[in-house]
Amino acid sequence: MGKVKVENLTKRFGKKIVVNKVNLEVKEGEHFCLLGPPGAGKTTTLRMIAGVEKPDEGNIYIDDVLVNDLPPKDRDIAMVFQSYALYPHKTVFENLAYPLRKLKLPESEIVKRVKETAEFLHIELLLDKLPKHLSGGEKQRVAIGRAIIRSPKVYLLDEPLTNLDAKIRASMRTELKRLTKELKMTIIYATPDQIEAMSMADRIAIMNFGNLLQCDTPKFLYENPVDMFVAEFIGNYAMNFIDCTIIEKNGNVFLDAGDFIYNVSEYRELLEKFINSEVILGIRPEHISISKIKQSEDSIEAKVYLVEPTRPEMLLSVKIGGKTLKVVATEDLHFEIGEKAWLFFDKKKIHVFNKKSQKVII
Amino acid sequence: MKISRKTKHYVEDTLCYIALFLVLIFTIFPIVWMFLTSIKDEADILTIPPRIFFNPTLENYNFVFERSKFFRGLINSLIVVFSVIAITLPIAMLAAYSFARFNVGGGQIQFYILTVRMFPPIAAIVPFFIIFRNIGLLDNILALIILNTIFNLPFTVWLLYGFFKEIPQDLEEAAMTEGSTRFEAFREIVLPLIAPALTVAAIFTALFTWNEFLFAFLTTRTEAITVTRVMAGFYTERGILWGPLSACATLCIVPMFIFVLLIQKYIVRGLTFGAVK
Amino acid sequence: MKISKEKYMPWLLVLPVMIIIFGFTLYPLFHAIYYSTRNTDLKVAEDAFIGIDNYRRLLNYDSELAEAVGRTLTYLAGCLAIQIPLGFAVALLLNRDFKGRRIARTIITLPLAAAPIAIGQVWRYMYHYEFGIIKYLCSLIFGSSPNWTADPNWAMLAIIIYDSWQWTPFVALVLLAGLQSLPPEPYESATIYGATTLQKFRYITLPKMRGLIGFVALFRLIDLVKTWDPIMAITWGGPGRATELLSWYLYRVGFYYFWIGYASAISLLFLYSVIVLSTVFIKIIAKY
Repeated sequence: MGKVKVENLTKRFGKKIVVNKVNLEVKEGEHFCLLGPPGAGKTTTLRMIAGVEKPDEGNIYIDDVLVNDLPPKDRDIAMVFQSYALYPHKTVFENLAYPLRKLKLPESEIVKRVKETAEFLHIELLLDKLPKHLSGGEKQRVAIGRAIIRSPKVYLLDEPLTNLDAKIRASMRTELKRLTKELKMTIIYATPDQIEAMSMADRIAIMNFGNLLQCDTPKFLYENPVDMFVAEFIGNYAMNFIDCTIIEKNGNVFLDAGDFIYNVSEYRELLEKFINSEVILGIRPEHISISKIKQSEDSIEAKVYLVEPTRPEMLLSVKIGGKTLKVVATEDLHFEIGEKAWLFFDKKKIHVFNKKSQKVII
Repeated sequence: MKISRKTKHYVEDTLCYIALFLVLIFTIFPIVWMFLTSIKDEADILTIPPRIFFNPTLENYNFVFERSKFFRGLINSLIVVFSVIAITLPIAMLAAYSFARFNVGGGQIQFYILTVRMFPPIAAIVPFFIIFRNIGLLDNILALIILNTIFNLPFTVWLLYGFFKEIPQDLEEAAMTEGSTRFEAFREIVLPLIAPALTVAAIFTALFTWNEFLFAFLTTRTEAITVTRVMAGFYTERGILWGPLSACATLCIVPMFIFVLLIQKYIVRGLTFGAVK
Repeated sequence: MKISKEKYMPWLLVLPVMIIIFGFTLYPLFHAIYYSTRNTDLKVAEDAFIGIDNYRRLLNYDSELAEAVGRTLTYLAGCLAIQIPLGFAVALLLNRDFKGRRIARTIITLPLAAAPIAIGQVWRYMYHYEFGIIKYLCSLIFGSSPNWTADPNWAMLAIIIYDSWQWTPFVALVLLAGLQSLPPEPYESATIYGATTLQKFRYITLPKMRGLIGFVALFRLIDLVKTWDPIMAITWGGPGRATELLSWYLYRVGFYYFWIGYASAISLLFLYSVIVLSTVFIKIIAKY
């Protein structure tokens, strides 16, 4: 109940390919996120699953039934639009009741369900108001209420938190998580915010320019990004990227970054094909440790350039020669601008990318 | 002598007030004069210099009501106006909705429709006159209804098109995911929201049709005359009957004033086919 | 077999409009083309095929037509020359914040509601060479007054003034809408720099409004070409033919002389010019 499968889904607007041969499978009860920057095609994909947009190619299955030609009302889905799409001329009560009226339920049943849903979402005091008198957060709850009141098989949420201001967004995120956990539904969720995706989804599908790049659990995406785009997009701090060449010296393999070289002999087998080619070393700021003394052979000397106290941590910008890296450090370390420091990369957490946007090793 | 900023502002303001005042006087003068003339008796009308103080009389209105075809014209005009609205509005609404949501014909059809509005009526009426004459439709209300419908459709379509575009598609799509067909979504969600626009379109159509003269003049004689046409009847061998003429003009214009006041907010939008808001 | 309802439904909705408009414009169009090649005269029931003679007559030696066109151009120029600047001035005045602004705006809107044929008659009376109040006021202010509608030299001005009375409000309201949509920031920073009202107008307002002014001028142009009702109401094309615009000439040919054949030819050419003009115009609206 609530499985969704998408096969080779393609959509064009004029000459532009907006969704390009996307393949997805969403399991029952899964919280699935479509993540990507604006224009990635996530909203369009969502809309095609809802039936509000027709695909140019490809198939959509809900519970193994091909739904391509079914209108939205026959697909047993509910969608929460980014703009909430509340009916301006109807009260909150009528907005919530609308789907139930379409099911031709008796009035008493409708009233009962509307009240229940309103209480569940803490909007029972707003039932007589018109949408224009509601705040952003309230509107969103009504939109969600309208979606859950029918208990459909699949819920589709299009950037539900984007239109809220920052403060409300954090609390709504928690709210949303509570809701979705309690309701045990299949949810497909589109968002450009990776924090939302990482905190709420069971699995994430990252999209860019209409292409599905990678589809996995948040943890896996964080630890094993398939390319530079994914690596940079995921994670609270952007990954550091350094241009290097792979060289062989004295039987050891090194990454030559010009200003320093880094021993990566452990990964010899994986790197052998790429010796003498250009690659990009990727390492997350949180995986670099910084200290005032040289702690190991592999430590690299750097100069502190900027200190940003992002309490409870610190974000330091350091320079190695001409290259700038960001490092996350704990607050108890005191560094001054211009001070010399030693960086140690967690070798198990480095990534090396083929310069043509591919990943090579972990 | 240095003029302070404040004084400059006062002078500026006063000049503007005076200028605006003059403009308003000029604007309203003919209307007031029309009304005054309509309640003067013949002697007061045909005097030099024109009289501002006089004894008002209703004899002109009596003349209009009793001795001219005014009531005939009124009924005909009303029939034509209502018929044109009844035909134009639904058709234009459906077409405008289709253009706004589906962009049928990629703008070409809309283009052609808009061009029709630009036709000078006098040029367009020559062929129509021949056709109506051949099929015996002259001096028949139907001819007027047809002509006015053709000329009001383009503008109504464009006006409603603008309004439809303002209603977010989300609303209909949300209704469709909640169990409506597109038709139900249109009826239950879009229609209530477009109701004010329909009213505005209806009033504009009424305005243009009521004020229309050329078609009425050339295609009617006695049976199907409209209010505007009645005015031509005050040109007699004795001369022009200014009093009744002004009375008739007043009767013709005053209802439209009321209408225009109702749609004042939308008048720019309406007159520029919705291009300027 | 699946018929895509989605595909043909949009066309179904547009069908009524298309039938009416295409049907009722194309059929008469063919009719006009047909008659334009004949010398139909309804008065004497004459009707024979004469080929393109009508067009030849039109283009080669119809001096009355040429004069009518000339007068029309004069009329267009005169009206635009008054209505655009005056309308802009009124818009500027109305754009200021003052008490009674709403009432002023309402009053300005009134002329647009008046049926031209109706209020035109009033103007005819006002222009009357004996009893007209305009004559009287002119004599008071200027010492003497022309016989407006009776004097060929002044009749054109008479109808230009009338049209300006009725349509300057339109120009004013459109430009007012434009003025009100201008952002206040450039003005605020100009004030800080000590700019005078005149400078602000010249360097901020004018450039920004240029597009809208052009738009409304073109709009008026298209409407002015259609002018017929006021001529009927005020001058009847006279005195003599002093105010016989193209539309009135066409009326005379078709409905006074009833030379339907020739009238058809003129209408076609008239329509064609208007279509060209409006195509240009619509392209400009689309960009705007």
